[in-house]
Amino acid sequence: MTRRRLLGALVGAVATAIGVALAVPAMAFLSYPARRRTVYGGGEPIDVASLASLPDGKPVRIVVTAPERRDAWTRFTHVTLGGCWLVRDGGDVRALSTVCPHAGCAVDWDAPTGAFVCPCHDSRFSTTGERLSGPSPRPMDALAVELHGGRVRVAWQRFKTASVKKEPV
Amino acid sequence: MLKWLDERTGWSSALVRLGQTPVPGGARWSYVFGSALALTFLVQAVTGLLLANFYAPSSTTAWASVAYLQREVTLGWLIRGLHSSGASMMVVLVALHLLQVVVWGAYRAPREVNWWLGLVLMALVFAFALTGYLLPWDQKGFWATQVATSLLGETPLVGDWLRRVIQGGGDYGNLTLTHFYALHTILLPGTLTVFVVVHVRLMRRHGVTPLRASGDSQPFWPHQALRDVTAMAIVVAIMFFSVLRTHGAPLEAPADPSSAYDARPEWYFVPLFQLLKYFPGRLESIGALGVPSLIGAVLFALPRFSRRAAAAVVLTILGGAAGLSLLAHRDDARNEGYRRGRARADADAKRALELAALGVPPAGGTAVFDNDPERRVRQSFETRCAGCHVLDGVGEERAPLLTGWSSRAWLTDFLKQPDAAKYFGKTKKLHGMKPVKPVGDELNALVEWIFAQGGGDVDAALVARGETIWTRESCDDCHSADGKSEGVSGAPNLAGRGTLAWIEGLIRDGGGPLYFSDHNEMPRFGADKLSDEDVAALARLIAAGRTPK
Repeated sequence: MTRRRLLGALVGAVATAIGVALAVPAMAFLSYPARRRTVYGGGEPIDVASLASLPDGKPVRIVVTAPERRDAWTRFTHVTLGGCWLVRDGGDVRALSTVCPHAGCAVDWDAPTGAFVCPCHDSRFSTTGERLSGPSPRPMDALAVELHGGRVRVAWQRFKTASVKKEPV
Repeated sequence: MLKWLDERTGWSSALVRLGQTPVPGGARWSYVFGSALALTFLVQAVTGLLLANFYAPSSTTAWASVAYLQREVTLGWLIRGLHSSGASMMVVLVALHLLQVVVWGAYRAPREVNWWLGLVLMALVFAFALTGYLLPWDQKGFWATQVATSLLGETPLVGDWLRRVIQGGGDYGNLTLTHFYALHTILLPGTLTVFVVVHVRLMRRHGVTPLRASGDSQPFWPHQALRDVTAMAIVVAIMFFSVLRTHGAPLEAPADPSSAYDARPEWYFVPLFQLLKYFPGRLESIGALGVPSLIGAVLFALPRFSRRAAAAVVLTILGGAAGLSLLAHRDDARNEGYRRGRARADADAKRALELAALGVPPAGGTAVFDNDPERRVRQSFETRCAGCHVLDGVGEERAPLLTGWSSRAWLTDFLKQPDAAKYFGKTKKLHGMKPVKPVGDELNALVEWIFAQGGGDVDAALVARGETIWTRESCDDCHSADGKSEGVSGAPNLAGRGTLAWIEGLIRDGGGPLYFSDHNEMPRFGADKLSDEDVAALARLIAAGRTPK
């Protein structure tokens, strides 16, 4: 190897070392949100209504508000997480997320036809959340419900859309 | 692929041409400063871009987002530290580059324009530094930049207008941050890039200036390239070392316009800071604007100076700056008040960062201190209790004193004068208790017995003696001590008096049968007014008075 080539290789090696020394921490820094949850809290069952206030068989839209939620550096209190439909069935209550599993639009209740309808792409669901028609890949997402002392508690969660499997985001 | 690209762009031949650029007099270490500066600017651009992914420029989010990236984000402290040490490194390299250019005579004809471009670049580097350290919206950035913008406001004719435009209005706030952020991340980088391109283009047009005339020249590749890249590696190594040694750039407590903060600028502005001490009152604008303008004018005119004279001028400026910095350092070292303030600011910064781990309330900034249990309970006291009780000098005297509540000293004094204004004297109904008769050891024994109801270290023999005195003096005619029976005329049951549970019960409902029953005058603090945590914290705060430190 000539002296010139050797010096050239040395320049390349030093430049590469500088690049690596800077690139490795840069990548670790940038990829932080891919490895850690940056928005969290509010996943626990939250009191949303009294059982007595729910009419039997008729869906009622409820806003789920978390007492506390962390969004990166901010600690919010009384944060709206999302909406859900509560359907009372005697002494039991079903909670269905208002987020359409197809593309994430807000599912509405169509009283004349007695079905849930997504206004974006016309997916239709029964009062139990089963898919009746339309492009939605799965039924409406059921949320965990707890009944405690005549109160209804819902654990609100967001799920991946456009997927047959119901997976939390 | 590379060949395909080369055929269409000619990148390899451009690189070859660059490598063949002759270096007059041969490769030299003295030529490395420009390259080192270019690399430092690149590091600043990259780390700045990384930081921008996590930074939110508003008065409610700036400090919180910087605290988050500093504490939570992987290697956030390192990236921010590199950005901060890179700023210092740029100032150092600018000074070295300036000195080298002057000593080597590279400022003279035909390179005058490039010299002036270099001066503009130097001013831009300082503008970067000035706009950058406000962005964390911490105490240091906030107060030090206040000084800078106030001085800017003293510019003749346009000062006030300029200050208001740059700081986004008359007062510091959201628009100050968005303006400084736009300057720091868009306008200044864009301007600097343009000037650097022209500066390098002109440098290549004229070539480097050898110290002495020498016939031999060498191509840039690989001899000068190796020196340049080695210098770059040293610069990067120094930056890493500096950051690792200090664990990143400091972040002070959130900006607090109400605080008494003794502001000091970054080290590169300290000479100017010190200079202002010698220009008091109306002369201040001479120090703040006149002296820097004069230095700028002399440097602008430098191409007319000989190498010896120019070197003397630059060394005088750099030496003067170093001297002023030393004087400032000496003044601070002798200033006891400053040192105390500094220690307080450091403690505040440490506490604020610890509390930020719990999440910063939406009000941002100093609201982080609301996470402090001590501060929160003091706030609860001020809003719920201070209307009637005094604790540590805060509150109004309408109900019993809570400073040192139920300590032995408090009980002794209380038993001697229960109807004093600082105890029950200003209540409406609770006046039935008479001063106790025992004095001296007997009073101490009675106090020890009452104190023992709340637990803690006690003298058992004294407690036993106190109980006999309690019975002998017929205290039990009004008070019970069994934890079950209601007293007479609102006399509380003394069982457990002073325990946390007893105090919590009193806060929740002072009208309970074991407290003041129908003689109670204190509002009931149910769950709608105070949470369980708040009541427990208040009970701890009050109970802490039993055993004064």
